[in-house]
Amino acid sequence: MTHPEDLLADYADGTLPDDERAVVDVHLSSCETCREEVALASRAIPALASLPEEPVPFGVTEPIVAEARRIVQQRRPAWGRIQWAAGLAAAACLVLLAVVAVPRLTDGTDEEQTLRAPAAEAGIGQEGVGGTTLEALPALELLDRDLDERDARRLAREAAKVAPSVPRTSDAAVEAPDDAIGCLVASGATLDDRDVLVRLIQARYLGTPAYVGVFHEGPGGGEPPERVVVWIVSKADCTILTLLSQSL
Amino acid sequence: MMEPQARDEDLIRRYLDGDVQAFGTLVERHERRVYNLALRMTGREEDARDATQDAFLSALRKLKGFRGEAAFTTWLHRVTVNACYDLLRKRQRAPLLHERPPDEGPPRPEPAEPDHADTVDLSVDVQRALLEVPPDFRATLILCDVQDLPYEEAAAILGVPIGTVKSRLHRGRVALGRALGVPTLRERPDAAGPSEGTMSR
Repeated sequence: MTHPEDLLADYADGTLPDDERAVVDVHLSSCETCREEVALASRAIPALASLPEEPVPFGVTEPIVAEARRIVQQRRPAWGRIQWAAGLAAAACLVLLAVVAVPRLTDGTDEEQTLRAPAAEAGIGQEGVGGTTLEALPALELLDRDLDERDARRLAREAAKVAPSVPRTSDAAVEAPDDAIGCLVASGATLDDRDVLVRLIQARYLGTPAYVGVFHEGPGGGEPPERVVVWIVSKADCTILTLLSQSL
Repeated sequence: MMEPQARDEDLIRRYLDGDVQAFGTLVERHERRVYNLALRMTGREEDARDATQDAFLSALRKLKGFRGEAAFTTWLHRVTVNACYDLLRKRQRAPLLHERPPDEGPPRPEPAEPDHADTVDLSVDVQRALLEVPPDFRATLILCDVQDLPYEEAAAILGVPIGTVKSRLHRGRVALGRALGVPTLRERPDAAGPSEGTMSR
C-alpha cells in the first residue's frame, strides 16, 4: 500500500487543504498503520510545544562579546585604541574605570608594595610590574547574582575558550583607580605584562558581595598566556574568597 | 542595550566597522533561541552552554564572510545545529534509535536541568524522549514544533528540500510519540520508520 507520508505532517498540523485532507481521510479509513502514526504525531506535537524556553545561564555569551572586542582592538591601530578608551571614559557608559595616565608604579609607593609583595611570594619577578594596557581593561559587569564554586569554575572554563590575549607593552602606563581593580590588587592580584584582565564582575560569592577578576596569565615578554585565573575577593575588605586556575 | 530597530545585517556591518556594541546587540537578540536549540538538541545544560559558545564563536569568526544571501538568523541556526552535531559526535552520546541493539533499553542521557521546579516533571520526560529521536529528526522537531519555524526556514537551516523536512517531521513525531510511551493502536517493530522522503514503504 502507498502511504501519503508527505502529507501527514501537514495533516497532523491541521494545515492541509481540504481536497488533500479528504484524500488522507480516505486513506486513514483503511490503513491502521497511518492511523496509529497520526495518533502518535498528534500526541508528540503538544508535548514538544510544552517544552519551556529556558533563560540563557550566566556567563555563556559574555566571553563571546569579550572575544569580539579583542578582535576589534587587534584590528585597530594604536591611536584608535586610545581614542576608543577616551570615548568610553567620556561617555561613562558602563565603564567605571576612569583611565588616567600616571607614571608606572615603580617608584616605591604603597600601591607598589601591595602589587609586588604577593607577586614575589608567588615566585614571580617584579621587573615587569607596570601599567596594564588600555585594551586589557574590561568593563565592570554588574550581576545581581550569588555565585558559587561551580560558577567560578565555569568562568575559568569559558575564559579558556576564547583566544588567549597576548599582553602588549604600552608606553602609556595606566592606573585604574576603581574599587574593583583596587580591591583585586589590594588582595594580591597583579596587573602587569604577564596578566590580562579579561573580565571584571561585581556580584556575590556565597552570599558575600564580591569582585571577580578573570585573568589570562602567562610568562610575559609578549608570550601568550598559559592559564586562566579566577580571583574572587570580598567587596567589603578585599580579602580573597576563592582562587582557582585552569590551563589554557 | 537592545536596538530593536536595527537589522541584523546592519549590526554585522557596524561590528565589522569596529562597533563592538553592535555585536553585543546581535548576541543579545539571538542568544535565547540559540541556547534553547542547543539545549533541546543535547539535553544537558553543560553541553548547551558549550554548543552555544561554539556556535557564536564560529559565527563571529565567519562574520566577515557572511554575504547576506540567507537571513542571519537562518545562518546562525545552521551554525548552531552543526555545533550540536559536532558536540554530539565528540561526546558519542547521540542516542540513535536505529543503532541500538533491539533488546537493549534506550540510552538515558542526563536530562536537562531546568531552572523552574514546576516544569521539571513534564519537560524532563519530553526532553528525555526527544533524545531518543535520531539527531536529524530531532533537529527538525525542535525547529518546527518547539521553535515554531516555518517548513521553508527549517529547510534552509538544515540544507534539505521542504519535502524532506515534512518527512523528517512526521517520522520524528512518530518516534517521539513512541518514546513518550503513549498508548498506540498496535506496536510495530519499525519504530524509526522507512527512509525519509519516500512516498511508499
